Amino acid sequence: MKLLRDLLDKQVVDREQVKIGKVDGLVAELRPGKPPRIIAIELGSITLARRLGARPGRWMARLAVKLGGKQHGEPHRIDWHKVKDIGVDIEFDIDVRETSIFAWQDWLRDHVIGRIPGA
Amino acid sequence: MTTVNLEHLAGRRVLSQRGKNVGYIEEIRAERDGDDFVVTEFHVGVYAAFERLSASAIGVAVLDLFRLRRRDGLYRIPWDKLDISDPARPRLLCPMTELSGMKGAPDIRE
Repeated sequence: MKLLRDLLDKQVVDREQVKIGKVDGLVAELRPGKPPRIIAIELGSITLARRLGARPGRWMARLAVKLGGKQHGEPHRIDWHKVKDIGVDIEFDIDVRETSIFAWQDWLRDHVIGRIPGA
Repeated sequence: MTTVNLEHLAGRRVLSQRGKNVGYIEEIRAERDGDDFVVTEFHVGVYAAFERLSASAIGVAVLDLFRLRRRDGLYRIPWDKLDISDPARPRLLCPMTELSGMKGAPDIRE
């Protein structure tokens, strides 16, 4: 498998086929005398910003903390052992409702969208 | 546990032990090893910019249009011959003389 072609930027779905986001990062563990092992994928704006450089990554992390608190200062990580299928989409054996990936979306729904008359 | 983000390696320039430019990381190959997926080799060549912008298909087409693609410049470097502990500065761990044995031909299966 070619990681940059087949994994990076690919759509991630949970076990209910809900679209969670895209694979923004691939985390590997460096082991002495052994090949690097993929341990997780990362999603979110912080990981994406870090691909542009260290400074954009720091700015994005600071902004996320300022807006949402310390718990939002790190990227979302999904353990690699939860991967279920790798195809057009990357399917993970998780339920997105049990994670904080949609925290911003939920907040917007509850505090903004939900208050619009007729919404 | 020491971890690295592999996406930071995309398009990075690879330097030899003496600081000479070897090429740019175009692709990272991984294979299943039991329950794990492990990195087996790094493809180092000339496409860096296009790979980094995730426009590799378009980039390859443009390079082919202007006959700029040199497939003989692609190296398939095994995982143990590249130091990626600093993703911003990957370094070759073997002498450049060994690179001739790592030249890759286009992968017909793909």
